[in-house]
Formats: sequence, structure tokens, C-alpha cells
Amino acid sequence: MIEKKKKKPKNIMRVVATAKPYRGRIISLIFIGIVGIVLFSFMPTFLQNIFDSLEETILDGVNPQFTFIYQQLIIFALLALFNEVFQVIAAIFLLKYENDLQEQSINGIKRKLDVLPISFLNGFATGDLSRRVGGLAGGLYRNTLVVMYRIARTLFFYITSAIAMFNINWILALVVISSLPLCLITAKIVSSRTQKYFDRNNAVILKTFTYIEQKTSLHEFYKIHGIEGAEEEYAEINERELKATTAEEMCMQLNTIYITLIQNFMFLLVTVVFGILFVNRIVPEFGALPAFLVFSNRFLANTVIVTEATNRIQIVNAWAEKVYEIMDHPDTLTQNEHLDVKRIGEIEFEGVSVEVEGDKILRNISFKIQPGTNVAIVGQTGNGKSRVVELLAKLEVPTTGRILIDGVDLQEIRRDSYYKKLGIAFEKPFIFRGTVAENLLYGVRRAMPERVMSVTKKLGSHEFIDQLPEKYETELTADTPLLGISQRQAINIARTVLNGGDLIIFNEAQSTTDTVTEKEVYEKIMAMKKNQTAIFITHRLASIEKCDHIIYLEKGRIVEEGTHQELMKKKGKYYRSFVTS
Amino acid sequence: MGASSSYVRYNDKRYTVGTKRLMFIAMFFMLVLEGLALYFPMLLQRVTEIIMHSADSANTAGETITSIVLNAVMVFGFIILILIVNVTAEYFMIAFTNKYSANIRSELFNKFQRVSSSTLEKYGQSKVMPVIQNDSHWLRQYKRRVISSIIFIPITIFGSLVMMFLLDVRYSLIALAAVPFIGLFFWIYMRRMKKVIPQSVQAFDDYFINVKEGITGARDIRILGKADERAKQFEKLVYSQRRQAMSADVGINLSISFHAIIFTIITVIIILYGIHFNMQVAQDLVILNTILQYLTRIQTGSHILFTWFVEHMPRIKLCKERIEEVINLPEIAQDKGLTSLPLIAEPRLEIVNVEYAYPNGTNALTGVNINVPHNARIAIAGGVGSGKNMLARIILREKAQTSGDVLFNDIDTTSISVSYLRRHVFSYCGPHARILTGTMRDNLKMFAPNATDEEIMQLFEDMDAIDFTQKFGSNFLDFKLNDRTPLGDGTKNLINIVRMTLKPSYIYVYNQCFEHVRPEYLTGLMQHLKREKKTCLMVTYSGHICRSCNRVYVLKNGKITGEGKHADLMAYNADYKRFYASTLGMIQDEEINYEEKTAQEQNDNKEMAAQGLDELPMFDSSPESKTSHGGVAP
Repeated sequence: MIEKKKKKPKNIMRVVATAKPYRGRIISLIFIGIVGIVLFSFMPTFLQNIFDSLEETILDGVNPQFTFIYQQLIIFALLALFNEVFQVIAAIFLLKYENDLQEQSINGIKRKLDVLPISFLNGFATGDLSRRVGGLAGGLYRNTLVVMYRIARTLFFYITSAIAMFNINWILALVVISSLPLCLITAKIVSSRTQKYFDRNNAVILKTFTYIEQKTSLHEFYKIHGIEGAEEEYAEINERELKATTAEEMCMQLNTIYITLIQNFMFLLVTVVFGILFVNRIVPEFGALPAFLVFSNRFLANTVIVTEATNRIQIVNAWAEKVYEIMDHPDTLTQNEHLDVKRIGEIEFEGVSVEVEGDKILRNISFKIQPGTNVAIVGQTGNGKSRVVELLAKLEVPTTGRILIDGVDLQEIRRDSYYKKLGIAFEKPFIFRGTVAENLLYGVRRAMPERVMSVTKKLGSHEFIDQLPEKYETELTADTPLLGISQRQAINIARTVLNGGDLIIFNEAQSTTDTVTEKEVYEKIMAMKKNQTAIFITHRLASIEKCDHIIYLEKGRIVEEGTHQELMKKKGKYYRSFVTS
Repeated sequence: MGASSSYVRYNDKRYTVGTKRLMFIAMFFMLVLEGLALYFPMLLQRVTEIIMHSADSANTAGETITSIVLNAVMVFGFIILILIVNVTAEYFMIAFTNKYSANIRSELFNKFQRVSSSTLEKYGQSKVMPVIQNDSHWLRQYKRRVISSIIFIPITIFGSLVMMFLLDVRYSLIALAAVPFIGLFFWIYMRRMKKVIPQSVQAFDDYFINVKEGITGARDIRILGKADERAKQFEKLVYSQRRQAMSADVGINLSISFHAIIFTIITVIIILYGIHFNMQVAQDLVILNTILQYLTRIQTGSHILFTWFVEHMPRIKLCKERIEEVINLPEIAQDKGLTSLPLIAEPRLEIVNVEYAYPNGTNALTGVNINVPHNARIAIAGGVGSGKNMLARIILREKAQTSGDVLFNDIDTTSISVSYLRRHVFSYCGPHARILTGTMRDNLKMFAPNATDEEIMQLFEDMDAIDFTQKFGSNFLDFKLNDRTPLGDGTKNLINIVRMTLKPSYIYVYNQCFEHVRPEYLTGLMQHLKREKKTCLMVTYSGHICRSCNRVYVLKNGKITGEGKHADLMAYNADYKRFYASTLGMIQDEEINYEEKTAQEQNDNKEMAAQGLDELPMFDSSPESKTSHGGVAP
């Protein structure tokens, strides 16, 4: 915890540093704001001059100095007008830069997510990542710019107001300025005692979010197990949120309450001190009172801004930590890319090992896949098959060793060009928002809608699509209840086949169907494909008998390889696995 | 307040439970607070008057100062009173608005639990969180604004005006000149915001859905070469969302400046008026000073009113519509079946002549008869499209059969409430294992809250799966999981199997959940189920499970085409033989020493015979199934 606290100040500075391209613009913006504030600070002086002149007129019975009063009034009004014009200009540009920086930040983290190893992303819950991308990344700049602008403005306000006030009366000036430390000390005491309520509320809300997210995404799951309502359970959670939010909000309101208290108190103090000075003729003009009342009011209003800004700094620090956790992760996947690939021919694994936190997932694997062949990678769950696919898909990089595509290291090949030649069907397929047809053609580079039905018919998915309410035009979403898992897989397989490419990979793509269907579909794919290399990853050995080459993995090592017949004759691990599955 | 009357229905009882008392107390103290705040400048004026008149007064400087200090002490007491009332008012206001918002959250959450999954899907899962958490928050703000408007606006704006009238009518009339200008500004900006805010909320929804989809589909999006295209789409969404948000913010900034300019002009006019027509005695100067203080209060009040009307009102209107949309979602019909059953010692399940026809007339199931006796493990074997899933859904009453009955100890399951049936009668282990965010223990004890750690570990031991638990490190049960933890299907299925086996139920239904699970674990599971005398129905295409079951029903094209023990089916049922052989690969049974493998089964058979279970008919007695068996027997 202590270590984290030490790190925090660095975060906001990093955010500020990333806004460097905007430095000139932000500085001019702050300058505009400052000009406004300088004008604003001198406004009460002119008000005071008017009151003094009026007082003189009334008390001493002299003729009113209209020219002087008009002059002062015009200056007062012009200052107000210019101040507001400057404020509006500054505010609009502040919003614009803030907006640009937010966009840049959100897009930056989004692009970063696209190039990070998939295993790194899997360490975060969906809700967590959504919040970092959707909320925190943008919020960082909104808060940072506001803090920079406000603090700069307020500092200048304090300086110019102090000059203006000391110009009128130093004692009253000191009285008004004394509100500043008073407010800051009170703020410090209050915030140090209330921090725990903020923390508690954050924790409670995070839990509530997780609970609601789970209850929603597993709605069907709960229903099937007869868990309905959950009214009592939620009532308890809701009650906790109610208590935590009430406490937090009360703490937040304390800020306003004590500022009001100090504001009222300062009004009184300024009046009393002025009274004493006036009675003793130390301050002879009455006009100082309304001027100082206005100064006191504005001083406190700015102090509120400073206390708010400190809260924002704390928020930025906390958020930046979460955002930079992602931004700082090394981009091992694309950093060496500089070549485009025209076709995927021979694939070679050259002494490839993968180690994650001391856990050896693949150990010195070497094999070659000739173009146009059908290859199967088999083995029990957890023996490294999927990692081979992730490496081939450029979703991960090997710890040691190389993967060569026609002799070129895969790490040097640009993703865009490589993915144009690659198709993969994973065991957990993703359904995009859109129709069935759009999903089948999603990412299909050579769009041939007329081929869709011929492929789905051949692969046996046409039947269930035909039973959907709008057939191929049925609208789908990621969580659509219209499709079972095996049907999602079927769409995914059809999509991969339609996509073509030099290399097609099926990674447990039919894990939820039965062996007969899997075998049938895989054999159809082998028959349909032309000059493509196909890799089948499965734990069901019957489905891949017809492959040209079979690689058997165990504990991250290749223990056997060859054709089905060769491996059966060997009567080794493959054979035993085959007969006992 | 015409504005608040359109939201009267938000005073509906379900949202206001336990809030009324809090609201009235809050309103009372807010009223007192505003009254005190309004009177404060007047009180301060008394001190100012003493100061102003000190020159003409006969009192000495010391006496004047004493008088100032005495009055100041009184004002100080007043300030403390304001503080106390302020804290009390805030407390009750916060307690009230939060309670109100909690009521709305609870209404919404519970509503979502009462709708069917497909209704929820149609509504949009990703909208659930924003509507529960954000919209209820906005409505809370709305309540606060309404209450403070009722108190604050009349007192701050009108009260200050009244005070000004009391001090000087002419000054007050000048102040009123601000009204048409501010009104015009209100009108212009409100028209704009009415358009901008719904667009902004919509843009945020689209943006958030895109973020979530991008995360869950990250891998597929990359491979499909869509990362760049989607990034551009995403950038557009971000741009539109940011632009809308900025539009709203600019309005607020313009409002502050507009108010400042208008009120500066009014101040100048008031001073000019004072100079020319109203400045005879010292008291007039004091009054002008107080008038300017009230003017500042009106300026603040007017700006708050503007923000409230322009920014909050359209947003709240939208919240109201969104909440209304949820409240109007159709609910699942009330479940009227039995909600409790007497304790059953020997649970059994019978599926009698069940048929299911799709609306287009094709049959998914035809005359299905299955008997699951007490303490028996019964398998239903069949390939894709055989009707296995439909049968499981009918058993769970997810689908209603066209005809036929599902009997649980002779009780028609349609007479039992769905939730009781699913909660207490069945333990259902489905093909789609779901992982909850929490520890492994939370996941495993989900349906068996009373299960101890020892019992859980014992089950893993029975299943010969201790090595599985060791993969998660020394603290298996405390291992933390989330919805993105990359677990293989085999791991998820095993967790699901253990979870559902731990659940105390009468009938255990395992539906295609054995995929990727190591065979030795399944052997262990079958032995455990047998030892615990659990009554199980296993819908599967795992030959491994079929071999260990007491009886297997072969399902093909929605019909039972054979039933019996594994060994008998292998001998007499071509469908089963083909199916079984395919699950093991095209390998001859002799080659894997069939006798050896069935030795265990023969032992089981003896046990079953001892329990009288062996007397079950070997084949279905229906004429249709006899024909089908006759046709395929070698």
C-alpha cells in the first residue's frame, strides 16, 4: 500500500506528459483564462470606488462626481464582459482539447488492446477491461486538463486578488486571505477522516456491478437451475450500497457545508474587522466593505475549486494506474513486424518453447508442415495444443525458438498481410451483432454471398439456420439465445471455410458436437479445400484419421508423430489414447 | 412546477417505500435553512448599520465596537444555527434520495429477474447495468433537484426578490428586467439540448456495446483481419459520443457567462439608478449594498435553475422512458405448480410417450419412453439432431411436450412449480459450463451452500481427480476465477460436474457435459454416483459413460431405437454399435478386449439384478420400437 502511494504522484505527471503535443495550445488557453481572472480580480476595486464616491457625496454633502462614477461603472462592466468572453473562449477550447485528448487516449488504449498477447488480456474480467477502456482512459484527461487549468487560474486569481486587496487595506486583506489556510486545513482534516467511506463505497459498488453483471450474463443459467428472483439476495446488496452511498455522499456534502460555514463566518469577520477599523478611522471609506465582501466570497469560491482539484488529482492517480497497467505492457506481438506475406507456404516450428510464470507450456517443439497438407495436432487437454494455435495466430510469441513461414520469422511478418491468408475457427466462437449471413461473411475477404448456402449445406449447418425465425436474415448478438454452442461453432466453421486463405485452422472447433458429426465435417472440409494447408486440433482422434500428418503432444512436448496408420502400428501413446477415449 | 408534474408517477408507491417521512423532514429543514440563509444578509446589515452610523452616533468608539461585537456574537450564533440546520437537512435529503434510488434499483433488478432470458436478450443485456445503476442515479438527482427547487427556487429567487421589494421596490423592478433575457436564453438552449442529450445517451450506449464486443471478441476480430476496421468504427463512435458530451458542457459554460453578463448589466443599472434617484442618506448606501448581495443570490439561483432545466430535464425524461421500458417488459407467467413435496426416499423418473412437434409440423421427439429407476444410472445415447437436447429441455420444463408425461415418482412434473422442480428435484449439469466471478469454492458450492471443504475434496478424490486440483496450486478452493479466466472446456466441465454432483437433489441429469473430461475422472464419477446411490439420467455421446450405465437408451431422429445394457446393445443394435464405434474411432471391439472392459459391467449387472432392476424389459414394449429393433438386429 505504501509503495502504491509513493507511485501515485508519478501517474498524473505521466498523463500531463502525454498531453505534450497540446502543450502550446494548453498554455495559451491557460493564458486566456488568466487574463480573464486578472480582469475579474480587479472588478471589486471599481465597485469600491463607486461606493466611496457615493459615501463622500452623502456624508460630506458634496455634489456627486458623475463623470468619475460613470467611468468606474463602465470599466466595471467592461471588465465583467471581457472576463466572461475570455472565460467562454477558454472553456470551449478547454473542452475541445480535453475532447481531443480523451479521444486520443481511448483510441490509444483500444489499439493497444488489439496488439497485446491474448493471455495478458485474459487476466482481466470483461467488466474490468470495459471500465478501463470505456471510462477511465478518457476520464484521465478530462480530469487532468481541468485540474491544470483550474489550478493555474486560481493561483493567478489569488495573486491578483491579493494585490488588489492589499491595495485597499492590508488588515482586511489578511483577514480574507486567512480563509485560504483555514479551508485547506479543514479540507485536509475532513478528507483524511472520510477517505475510508469513499473506499468502502467504491468496493461496494464494484461488487454490486460484478453481481449485476453476473446475474445478467448468466440469466439463462440461473433460470435453468430454478434460481429465480434473488430478491432477498439483491435486497441485502442494495441495502449495503444504500448505506455506503449515503455515507459517501454525506462526506462529499461536508465539503460544501464547511465552505458555507466559513463563507458566512468570513462575511461576519470581514464586517466586524471593518467595523473596528472604520470606527477607529483606520479605514475611512465605507466602500471597502462591499468590496471585501465580494473578495471574500470569490476567494472562497476559488478555494472550493482547489479542494475539488485535489480530489480530482487523487482520482487521476488511481485511474492512471489502471490504464497504464495496460499501456505499459510490452507489445511483443507486433514490435518486430516489417514484412508483408504473399502466401503462407511451408510452416516450420524451430525449437519453440513457451514459458508462463515458470510454467513450461511448450518445450522445444520442432516440426514442419508442407503447404496443402492436412495436419492434426492432438493430445489431452492442457498439453499445449491451443498454445501452438495461438502462436500460429500471432496472438502470442514464443519464449524461445522461431516460427518460420517459408523461411521468414513470423514475428517479422505484418499481421494485416498474414491474417489475410489465415482462417481460424476456435472452440469458443464469437457472434457479432448482425444477421446470420453477415456473421457468415464477417471478415470474409473475397465476398461471395452465393457460396454461403452451398458451404452451409455441405457442412450441415443449413438445416438449423433454415429453422431460425428469419433464416439467414435472423439478427444475432453475442449472447443470442437463438443459437446453442454447437450451432455457434457450426457458423464459425462455415465462416472459416468461406474465408479461404492459405492456412485454415480448426481448434477444437466442434468440441460440442458428437464424434460422428465432427469426423464427417472435418472430412468434408479436407475434400472441399484446394491447395490450402489445414490444421486440425482435437482431442477426438477418430475425426482426424485421414490427416497426412498427426502430431501428438504431451506435457508440451511432441511425443509421437506420423500418419494414423504409422502411429497405430507403433502402439504407443496415440494408440492407447485412441482405444481408450 | 409544471415540469415536475409530468413525473408524478415517479411518486408511485413502489419507489417511495420508506422515503416519505425522510422527504418531509428533509423538506422541513431545507425550508428552515433557506429561510435562515435569506435572513442572513439582513442580520449582517444590522452590523453594517451600526458601523455606518458610528460617525453620527453619540456613542464612543469603544461603545460602538462593543455594540458591533455583541451583534456579531448574535450573528455568529446564527451561523452555527445555519450549520446545524444545514447538516441535518443534508443528512435527511441524502438519506431520502438514496433510499428512493435504491427502491428504483431494486424494482429494476427484480424486474429483470422476472422476465424470460429471451425477453432480456431482446431488450439487450448490455443495457441492464446502465439502466439499473446510471438511470436510478439520475432519478435520484432529479428528486433532489425537485425538492430543492420546491424549496430553493421560490425562496432563493422569489424570496430574494421579496426582500429586495421590502428594501426598495424600484431596485427590485430593475432586477426583474433580467427575466425576459434569461428566459430567451433558456428557451433557445433547451430546444438544442432536447436533441443533444438523447443523442449523447444513445452514442454512449453504442460506444459501450462496442467496447464490450471488442473485448469479448478480441481474438476473432484480430484473426478475421477486422481489428483496423473496427478500430475506425470505434473512433467514429468515440468522436460522436465526445462531441455530444461536449455540446452539453459548452451550454453550461455559456450559461454561467450569460448570467454573469446579464447580472453585471443589472448591477450597473441599479447603481446608476441609485446614484440619480435614490441616494440621499447613508442608509441608502447600506440598502444598495444589501440589494447587491441579494442580486448575487438570484444570479446563483437562476444559473442552477438553468442547469436543471437545460441539462437535467431532458436527461431525466430519457431516464424515465428507459425505466418505463423495463417496467413494461413482459414477465414470465406466474408459476402455479406445487412448491413443496413430501420427502421422497426412492426417487425415480419416468418419461412416458413424450412427443414434441415443431410449429412447422416436424417431430423432434416421437413416442419416447424412458424409465429411470431409483439408484440407477441411465444413459441416453444419440448423435447431433437425435433429440437429446429437446428431451433434456422437456424434462427441465424449458419446453412443453406436445403430448406425453414426465413423471417424478408418479407425480406429473407439470404439476410441480418450475423453480421447485429445477431447484430441488433435479440437479442439472448442462453442456455449457458457466464460471462465476469468485473463488473456486464459490463456484463449487454454488448449489450446495452447506457442503464442507472436506466433502468437496472427497468428491475430487472419489473421481481420482486430485491431480486436477493440484494444477491450481496449493490453495485450490481459494483459486480466484473470473468470466475471462482462460479455462479449457474440460476444466470447466469438470467444475460443473462436481458442482452439480454436490447439489442435494433427487434426480441428477447430466447433459453432454463430459466432453474433454479425462476418462479416469469419469470412471471415478460413475463409481461415486453408484456408491452414493444417486439416481441419474445421462444424456451423452460418450461411449465411456454408456459402458458404465445400468441401461442405455439409443435415440435417433427423435425415436428410441433401442434400449438395454451396453453389451446387449453392442450385440443387437446396429445404430448403437455404429454410434459407439464412432466415438471410439473405427476400431474393432475385440481389439480393445471387450470382455475385459465389460467385466466391471457384469459386476454391476449382478448388483442391479439383486435390486430387481434387471427385470426391466430389455426392449421397449411399444410395437414401433420392436419393429425398429427387429430391423436392425444382426
